[in-house]
Amino acid sequence: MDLVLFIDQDSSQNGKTFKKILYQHFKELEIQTLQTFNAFKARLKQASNYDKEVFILFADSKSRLNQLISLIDLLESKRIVLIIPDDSKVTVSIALQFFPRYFTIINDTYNDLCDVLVKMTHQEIIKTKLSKYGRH
Amino acid sequence: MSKLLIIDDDSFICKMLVKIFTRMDYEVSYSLSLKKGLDELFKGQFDIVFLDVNLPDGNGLESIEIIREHPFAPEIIIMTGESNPEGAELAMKLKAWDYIQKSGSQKEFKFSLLRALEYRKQKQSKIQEMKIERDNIIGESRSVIICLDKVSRAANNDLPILITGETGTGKELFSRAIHNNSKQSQAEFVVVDCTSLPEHLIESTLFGHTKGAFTGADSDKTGLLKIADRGTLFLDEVGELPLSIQKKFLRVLQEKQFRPVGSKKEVKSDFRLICATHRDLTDMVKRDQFREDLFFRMFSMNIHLPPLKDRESDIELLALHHLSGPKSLAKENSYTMSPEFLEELQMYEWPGNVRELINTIHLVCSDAGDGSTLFPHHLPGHIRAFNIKNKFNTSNINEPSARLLFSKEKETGHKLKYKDHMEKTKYEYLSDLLSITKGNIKEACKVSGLSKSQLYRFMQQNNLKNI
Repeated sequence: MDLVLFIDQDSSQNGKTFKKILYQHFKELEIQTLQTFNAFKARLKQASNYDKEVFILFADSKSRLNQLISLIDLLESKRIVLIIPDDSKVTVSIALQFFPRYFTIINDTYNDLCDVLVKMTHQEIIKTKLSKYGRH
Repeated sequence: MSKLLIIDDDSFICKMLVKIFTRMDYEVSYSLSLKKGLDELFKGQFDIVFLDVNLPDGNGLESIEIIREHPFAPEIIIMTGESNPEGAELAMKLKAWDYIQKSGSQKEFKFSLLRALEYRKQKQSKIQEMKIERDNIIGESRSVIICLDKVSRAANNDLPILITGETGTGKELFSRAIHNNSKQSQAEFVVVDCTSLPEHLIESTLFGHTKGAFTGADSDKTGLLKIADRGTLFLDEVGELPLSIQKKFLRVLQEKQFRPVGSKKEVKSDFRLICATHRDLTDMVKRDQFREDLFFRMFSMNIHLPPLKDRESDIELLALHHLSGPKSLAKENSYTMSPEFLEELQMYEWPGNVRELINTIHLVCSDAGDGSTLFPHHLPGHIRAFNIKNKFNTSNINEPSARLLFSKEKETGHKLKYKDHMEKTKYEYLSDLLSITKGNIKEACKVSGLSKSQLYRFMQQNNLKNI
């Protein structure tokens, strides 16, 4: 499974912390990091495989979240995990428009998110093994 | 003008009814055999079908379920020459409108017809009220139309829904369509991916928690159940929900309230529940892997989504949509499918269903470059290899061995099991079909109503080659 991470180059210290944690946790996975909105948009226009990729969107502010909403059409049919700035009703409501497989609020450890990604990775391994034996 | 169809082998009865109903200003046609009748029915759109029970090529009662699968299923009035209480009971169980004897008076026929038409009119006006926004659901095949009809009914009530189907058939898309067309549409649609959530996170994710409830809970967290209040909660892959959570979830459904982890206060939430799974939950209940009480509480209506291989006619529509649709990756480009490319798409079995087709289209577009015509060689190798192997196997397998298998059973006089009998019938049908059409696959598909990939698959399963 590959991880595609959008984390704006201007994001706060929180962003840097998250990136560091992610790279430490998933050394064995390929992580593609996109640090500008345009680069991320271009990546979304490339071919992708739902079962083999997870898109992690780091939105450290409401404005960043709103900016990502403009890409909603391109994010259709993608597996999305979202990091949002707060848990206010408005923010959560915007977050839900991405139909994320999981979302969490900016924090110091991201233990929850890492556990979800680990489970997703295991699921993908099981799926690949089953399809090798002709079961789906 | 209402359209009526009479299926009866007695031409006198047919002509008599045509005369009566034409005088009443209805458009009437008739067929003297079940096969012709069903052909006629599926070609057109009828309001009422008068169906005889004993037809030379089959039993009318046994075809009720087939007729009811028609997207615009007509009301069915069963006619019989003799009194048969069991037959009448079966007809009612199968939801025929009425069961009348041919010896009945004209008045009885007219009365039954008028009442059936009145009922149909009411039903259709409700259906028109229930027209739905499809969102991104693409397809015109009969099976998709039937599913959309169920979506429409589901959107008009608050009952819990179970959507089943193989991976990639679009379970989430259909559940969103239900939400978007329902009265919950103004509130949130909350996805819970039961496959991705580790067991220790499920409870706090669903129910929420208070600060200090467990190590790492450094602030209060609102659970997804509360976020879904007045909206829709979509439990994707519900079969993965651990038994410990199932028990707690049952209470939420019964009482519409729950307690977040570490909290002493009950929180209220009233959401509409839609669940999806690719697993056989009935079997899981039998194996004690899923709670029976929760199973019955959760699912009032089932929408089963067909695998893509069973809706071959939609493959072209789906491919075109994703090649040129507004949300396509190919937005700024234009691609054309060559007939051979489309044929390859239609021949493949798509184990990953619509999702695999979309992934493939995206991949093909990015490989082909702008403005290209798509040819089979643009397709991923495994798809072409599968198709070629399929064709090769179909035309090279030794036919006599299969015949021998059946003739041996005939000789030894063994009574065949039901399954074997059905296999044998299938084999004989396919042999005859290929013989009549002289091995012309196109013609065989036309005659049998099978798609090319289905025919190849059946031929392969039955060790048949095209002559």
